Amino acid sequence: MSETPSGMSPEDVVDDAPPGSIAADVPSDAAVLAEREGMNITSRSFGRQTWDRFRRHRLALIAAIVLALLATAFIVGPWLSPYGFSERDVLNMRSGPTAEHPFGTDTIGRDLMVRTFLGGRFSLRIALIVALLTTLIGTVIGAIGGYFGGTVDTIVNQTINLFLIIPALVVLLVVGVRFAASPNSIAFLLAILLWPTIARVVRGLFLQYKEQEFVLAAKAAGARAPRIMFRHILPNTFGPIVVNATLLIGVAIILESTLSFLGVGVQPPTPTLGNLIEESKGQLDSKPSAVLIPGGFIVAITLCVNFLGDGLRDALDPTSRKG
Amino acid sequence: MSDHEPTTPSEPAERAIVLDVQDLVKHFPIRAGLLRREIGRVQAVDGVSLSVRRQETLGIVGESGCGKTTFGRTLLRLIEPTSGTVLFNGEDVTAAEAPRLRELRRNMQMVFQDPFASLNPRMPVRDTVAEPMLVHGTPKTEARARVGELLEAVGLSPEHGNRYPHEFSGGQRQRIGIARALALQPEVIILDEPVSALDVSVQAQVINLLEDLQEEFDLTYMFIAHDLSVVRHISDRIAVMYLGHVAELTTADRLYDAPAHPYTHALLSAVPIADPRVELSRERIILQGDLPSPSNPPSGCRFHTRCPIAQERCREEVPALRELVPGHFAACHYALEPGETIIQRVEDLGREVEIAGQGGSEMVIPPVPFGAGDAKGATGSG
Amino acid sequence: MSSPLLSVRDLSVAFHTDDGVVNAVNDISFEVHPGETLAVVGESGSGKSVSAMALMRLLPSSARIQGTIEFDGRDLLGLSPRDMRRLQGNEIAMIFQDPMTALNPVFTVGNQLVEAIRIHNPKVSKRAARERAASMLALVGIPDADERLDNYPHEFSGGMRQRAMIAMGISNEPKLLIADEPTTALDVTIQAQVIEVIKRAQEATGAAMILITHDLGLVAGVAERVQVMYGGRLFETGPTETIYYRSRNPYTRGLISSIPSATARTERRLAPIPGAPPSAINPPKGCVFRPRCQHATDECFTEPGLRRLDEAALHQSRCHYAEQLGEMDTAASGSRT
Repeated sequence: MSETPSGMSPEDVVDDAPPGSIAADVPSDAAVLAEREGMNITSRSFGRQTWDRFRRHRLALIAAIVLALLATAFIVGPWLSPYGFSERDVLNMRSGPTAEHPFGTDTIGRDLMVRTFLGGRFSLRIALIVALLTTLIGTVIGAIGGYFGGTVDTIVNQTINLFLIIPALVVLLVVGVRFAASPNSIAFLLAILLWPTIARVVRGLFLQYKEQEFVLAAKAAGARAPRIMFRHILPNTFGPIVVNATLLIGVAIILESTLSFLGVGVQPPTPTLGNLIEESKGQLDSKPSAVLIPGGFIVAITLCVNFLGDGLRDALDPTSRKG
Repeated sequence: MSDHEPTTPSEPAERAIVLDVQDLVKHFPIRAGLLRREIGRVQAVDGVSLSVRRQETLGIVGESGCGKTTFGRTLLRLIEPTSGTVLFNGEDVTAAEAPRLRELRRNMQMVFQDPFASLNPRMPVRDTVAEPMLVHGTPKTEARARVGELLEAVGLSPEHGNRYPHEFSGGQRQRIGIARALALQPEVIILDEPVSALDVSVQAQVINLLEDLQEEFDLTYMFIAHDLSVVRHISDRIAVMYLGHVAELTTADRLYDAPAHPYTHALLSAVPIADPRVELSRERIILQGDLPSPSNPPSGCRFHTRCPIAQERCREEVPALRELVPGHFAACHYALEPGETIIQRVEDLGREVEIAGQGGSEMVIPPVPFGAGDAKGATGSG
Repeated sequence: MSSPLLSVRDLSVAFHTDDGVVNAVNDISFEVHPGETLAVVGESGSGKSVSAMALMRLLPSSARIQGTIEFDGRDLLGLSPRDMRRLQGNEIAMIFQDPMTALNPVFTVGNQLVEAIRIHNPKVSKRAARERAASMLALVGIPDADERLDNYPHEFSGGMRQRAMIAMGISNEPKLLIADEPTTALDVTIQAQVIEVIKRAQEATGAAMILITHDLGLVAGVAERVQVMYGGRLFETGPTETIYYRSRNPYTRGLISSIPSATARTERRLAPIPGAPPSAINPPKGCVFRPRCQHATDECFTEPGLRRLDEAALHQSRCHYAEQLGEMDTAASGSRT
């Protein structure tokens, strides 16, 4: 123990021991025996294995890069742009794409590039908050139901089912009219409707893991329920949770755009991708770029998110992991 | 590492009773329908009484459905018993409140069967072994230091602590599970099929390790397994279970030399022996039929449906576990005498029993109905 | 001795995986004669199952197979998939460890038995095939066979499923039965029943059998010849008694002395082999058993070949010191007089 700093990562240790060899520099007899006992299996850490598998998933890798580029553009773009997001260029109103305004301008002369990037920023922000909140709520509720079982689980399960049959859009339309306005409140509303998808996944995983022998071992060691749930079981469920949270980003972007398009989402002048389409819907014939560009961004983001989710699923799936 | 005084060697029978189980019952309800009404019960453990003395190894053998795993888990209340008492050093485990139960579990640890499922795949081994200590309030630095000692005690090196379970072989993982069980210096370790998932050559390593550790740390073992050879090797006394009941309980040598219960006879007879001359010369009886389901066990003696020497009484009356000679218990109305083979008894009753390699009806395969010979010839030449 | 039914020459199987090339089986050669029982013994990773799958051409396409497998005068590796299918389940039948995965869950047992019979004997009527299926089930000891035909595999117990698999396997009177750990998943008393059925089925059909197992107890009572595999290599082969009492291989000896005895009073400690089986990706240099072998010397850094230990080459061992090893000293051999 003393020779191995505790901060040392498992990869370091593994890389030090060439697979297949009997290490000559092992310090104790026990280590020699242990080396003979088959430490010569090729070993890679989970992170390493996951990355290796993910890397081979071309589409997911490209999707991740595209998403990173888009996010950078959304964050840095408006800041670099010579135009403010509500600044009007009265000489170039309703213009199509030009050298000065690559995405064109809207009916009152605002630069659509800066507004699209800013809209993307808001849309993405909402989606990320939704994914985060949903995961948090869903994980806690799902974990409690799955772990404790019995009446608690029955209640959790019925609540999940109830939320899943609620027609989300109708509720959003009704409630959205009253409360929605700011990006944050929209995000909050979406999270309340979407948490059951995560909760259902987490509940299933907890049901399955609580019977595993390593959980029994933790119980036998005297660990209390919260420790077993969050220290022992939760890390094993990261894979599916991350995949589902990723996919939720796509769902949230589409739902937010739908709401904004219907006018009950984030209120103008705050731009979101949905708002931009709504504002330009009248010009679909005269100047299709004003609708197609934000629409294209929505499609690009959701596609990328789905590809990324697929890649993560393959990479994190424990069943494809050997021994 | 051990704080215990060196004990004077004494016969296991004179030592104090550590674990005393009285009439333990675990029935799992079978529920169905919307209201989850109880429609039946799996009688996994149905009235088991036995005791374990300090530093002895009590083996528990039986086939699937006999309740041996449930029994082991019920002792630690990893599964809540339906009724009965478990006394640990005289204190009732089944009545203990949660905080007291945690304390009691310090002294009773468990090693599980599956070396792949029993370690958390996302936890480095050092954390897995330290976990019981951390849970019981040992300071982190102290726990970490002890992890190194524990890993060495089970034949690994402290450096292995940084690795994850998937980097170890099955035998090494089982060593890690044993180190975890040792972490709190328990008195009793319940070993649930600890070697059955391992290759033969590695299995022997782990058995030897368990024997060494028992001596070093004065441990008391309850060794649950289906492999009679392994159980015989490691146990002082053995309980044979069948469908939730104890069929026979005695010292390891007596169980093999003078089994009294017909089920024990059949079980011993069924185990193949890795010695061709012995194997080909002995008379092995073959039990008929399948194991009944514990959700619908036979009436009377649970073994009567497969027992070659069962009589009318066995169908109606549940045999009590009675002491035939001091220290030898069997639950059979017609227990066999020492030296008496089951084949003799069967013959005395004027019945027949299937013996391996002989008797039984010879198998004659009926010819394939019409045209088959031609068809076969055609595929053969084509 | 008659001409061999099956003759395997220099069989090698390799898989390409993320971690590298796995050489699961390396240059194994053996023969099976009509009617005999050959046991292939080994621990996990020894390549025993992979070589059997190669015989049946059941390996995934990622497997690279080299060598020749000659069955009854035909080269199995050269057969077209169609000709191979004609052989499978007809002249060569396989019994798997887990009959639940080998039986199709959505068809009744009867359906599958009838199918197995009619696939190779298309002229047999459905009714006649069903009758035969029922009598086959009865033969392997399933009571009420006629009604049982209409059960689905999940309605059978593990032992009954294995019996059904055996019935299916022998229904076309194969020349060769390959049984891959046929009783590993079963309880002891059921295992004894199933082995008995397999032995009788083999007697009735006169088929040769390759029994693949890790259980040396099972082998002792069933096999005429034994072949010990380790690390994808053939380590020792010989008549059963020779292997158990006069083994000339340190691995075989270690394996036998690792087994606790159910008959002898065993105060003695077990004598395990230290270490774990080798990795198939990075096997040790030289003899693959070297790191675990107490007799290993510098010479063992070169891989030993199979040495013939008698004139007929019935007994062969892969060890540089095969001739020099002393008599076996197992407790079992002492008790046997």
